[in-house]
Amino acid sequence: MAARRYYAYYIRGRKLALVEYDNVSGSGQTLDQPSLDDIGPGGGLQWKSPTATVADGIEVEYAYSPRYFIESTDVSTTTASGWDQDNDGNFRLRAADGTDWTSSPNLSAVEYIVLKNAGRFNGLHKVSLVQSTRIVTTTKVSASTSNTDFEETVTLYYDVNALNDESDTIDLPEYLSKALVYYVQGKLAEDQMDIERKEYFMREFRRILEKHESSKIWGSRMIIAGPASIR
Amino acid sequence: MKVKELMERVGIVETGRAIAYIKDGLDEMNMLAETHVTTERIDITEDQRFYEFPNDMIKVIDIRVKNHTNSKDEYRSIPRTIHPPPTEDADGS
Repeated sequence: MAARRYYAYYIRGRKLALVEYDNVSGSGQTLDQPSLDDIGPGGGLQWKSPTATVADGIEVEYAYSPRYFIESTDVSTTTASGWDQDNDGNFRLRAADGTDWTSSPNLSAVEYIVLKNAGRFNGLHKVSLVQSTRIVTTTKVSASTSNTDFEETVTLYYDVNALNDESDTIDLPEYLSKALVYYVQGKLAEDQMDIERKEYFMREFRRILEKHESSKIWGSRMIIAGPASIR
Repeated sequence: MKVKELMERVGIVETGRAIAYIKDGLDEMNMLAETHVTTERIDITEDQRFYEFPNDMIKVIDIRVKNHTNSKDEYRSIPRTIHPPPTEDADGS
């Protein structure tokens, strides 16, 4: 059975800082009554970096911007094993052993790819060059030129339609598309320094968003007692 | 709705400008009310405190960690600390 742990987080820049509550002293003993040297005045010294490696330990749920359609989720490959950067600072994917991206699957004509389970590289990338064992993208990265393996098994979607011309469909419900119309009108009014019109359109934009959010809530609303509440 | 239809409704003829504003609008929407949500799992490494967020992330909705206050391999939401703890990371960062 896995050990019970207690974690917390804070944010530094674009990074998640994970800390773990550790009640084991420097000598390796679990302390019932630790000394002040071990815990500090407020117990703060017992919070430290994670004390053990855990595969798939953190799960981040997040919102992303729908700037693309994956047209067929069946058309994908899991043959990207790692990444590095080329001499121009572009993010470059490395194929797993035995994979040739110019034959099977042939990605030579692919313009965009979407990565899933690729950690910080999740999402849409524009392809600039496809070689047999490399895909060079236009995504800039500041890292080592030596290969780094992905933590997870990465899924690479290559039947992707990026939002880049008039014929593309915006991946939004019909009602929210109307909010987007107001947003674009607001930005155009702002460009013309017509602040009154801009404020009007942005207010309508927010109003539609709020109505859409409210429309998903059905029935009476109840507030349940929190875990630390007095009952 | 297609980009062309939106351009006609708004009365804009420059495609590049319209698409740039549409992308801004999609970002703004996801800041205010999430329309597209996904999850990403990251390995925890011993003595490593900092982990990179995905580049396509607009807004964090929840952070859950395996075995947090349980021993059943369940993922549970973890609290956010107001202040960083005084103990530094092993690599000093």
